[in-house]
Amino acid sequence: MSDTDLNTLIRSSENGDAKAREELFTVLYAELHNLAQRQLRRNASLTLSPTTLLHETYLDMSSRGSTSFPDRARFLAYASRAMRGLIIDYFRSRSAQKRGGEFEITVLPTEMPQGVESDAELQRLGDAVDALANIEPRLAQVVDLKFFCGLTFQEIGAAMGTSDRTVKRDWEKARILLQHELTET
Amino acid sequence: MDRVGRFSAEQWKEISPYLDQALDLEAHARERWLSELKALKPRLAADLSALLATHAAVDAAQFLECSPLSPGAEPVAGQQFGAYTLESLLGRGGMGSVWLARRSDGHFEGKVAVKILDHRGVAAQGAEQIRREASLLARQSHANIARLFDAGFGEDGQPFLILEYVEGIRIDEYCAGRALSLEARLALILPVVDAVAHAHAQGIVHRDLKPPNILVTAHGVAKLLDFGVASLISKSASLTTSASIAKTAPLDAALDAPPSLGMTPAFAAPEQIRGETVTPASDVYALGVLLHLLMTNRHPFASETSTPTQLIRAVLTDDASLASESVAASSSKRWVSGDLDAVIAKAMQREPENRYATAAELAADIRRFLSHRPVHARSHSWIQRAAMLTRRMLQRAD
Repeated sequence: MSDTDLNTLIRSSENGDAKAREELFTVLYAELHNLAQRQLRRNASLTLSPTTLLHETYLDMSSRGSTSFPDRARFLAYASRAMRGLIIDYFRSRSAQKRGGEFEITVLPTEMPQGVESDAELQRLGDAVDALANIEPRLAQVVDLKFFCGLTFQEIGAAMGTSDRTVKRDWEKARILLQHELTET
Repeated sequence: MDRVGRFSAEQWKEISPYLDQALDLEAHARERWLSELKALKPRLAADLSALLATHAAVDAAQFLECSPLSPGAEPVAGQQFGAYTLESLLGRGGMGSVWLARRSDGHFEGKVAVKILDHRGVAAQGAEQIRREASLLARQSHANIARLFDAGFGEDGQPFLILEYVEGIRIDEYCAGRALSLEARLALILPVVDAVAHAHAQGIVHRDLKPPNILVTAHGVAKLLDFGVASLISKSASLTTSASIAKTAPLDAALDAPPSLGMTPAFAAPEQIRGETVTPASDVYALGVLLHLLMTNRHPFASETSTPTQLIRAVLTDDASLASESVAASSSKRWVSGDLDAVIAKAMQREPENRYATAAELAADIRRFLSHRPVHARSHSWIQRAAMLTRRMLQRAD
């Protein structure tokens, strides 16, 4: 994908074009995944945190020149959802590999999130976050940034342009709704 | 239609501000507030009660609180820390990793070492303290101490230290590799003892003196690494349980506990192993172990087969054998036995108050020994003093 195409996607997404948005997630997913693979080839013994992966992907994309996310915060807003997808796929492929599946992104941390028993459960959580995004996108974004990307409240506040306190409150509300979604459906 | 749980987008929009309000209230104020609301909007109050009950459950279960994806982040080459860009991994230890790095803005050519600490256990309130102490350390300057230039927190929140990059060989390997004479070894270590004394005078204790932290450069200068770093780390890690276990538990528990952060059992003084207060005398102890090691090529307690537990037990309960007993060559044995034995033994006393109080006193005694004067570690008979005086006169006559 050329930089012009990518910029069009970013612009259209910013203007609320849902289809462009989905495409942008796909592009960012590929970027994150490629970078993870590249790091893996370069230094197989290291694990890489999602935070670092996001950071490196942002640097990588901005260093290629004309790609223009309005700022790092907007990049994070899109990339955090792509990261959620990557993480879920990663855990799924890991358990697939245990059953004889094919590939593994070993650069990511190898332990399952505490309290999440299986990749299927992680998938359900991901779906619940999608449902949450339809009701109040901001809450879903906090979950993506905090749980799936490992950012701190301060970092999320800085990225979203809100106070730590607001982020913390959103996090509480998001957890309540997710729990409801997971237990009532 | 979009729903989360049993709530539609519309319902949620109505409930959300009430939930904000409820979450702001203390438990009993919230009860009253809810019962008042119930009279006005029973449906809404019922929904809120359900959500608040879920909140209590979510809170108790720490739902989603532990993401495996947060911290523990591994730095990678090219990543920036402060004004520096990481180039290659120099080493990795229990507390983090050390990288060779260069100034990102090309401002000056110098290479630095960046020590990136594993930040689990570093509390947010500890951050300011680390910064303050680091800036204090950064003001220290001594030819035999690798400088600490800066400290800060990386993108992912890991604390890091920017240190002078020293290219050199571990002091024990340097001595063995060049088959240095015992006198040359003592001359090499003396500036290190002076450097420790300099730091003691500033109120800084090293806490982790050991051969990997003392490198000899191509110019034959011994440099001390990581001065004060151990204290930064142990302070920042004071929340971890291992440190607090060591503080209060009896001997056996201390033996089973993992060695607390910021020290190496083989060079740690007994009080350090017990988790008691660390003083300049603790550094004196480590220097004593180091002297023993350099004079004899052997650790005073550890053998190749001893386990950490055996080692710790020996440090806590046994007296170290005299250094000269571990020296094979008879001329060297003669050189070490007597005064130098006494100096090393005094530095390695189990009780801190029986050691040299500071590294300066130890350095003074090493100087006395090298110039054939009576050492303070040993009371001398007048016959011995006369013999030493003769040796001194003979040396001057050479």
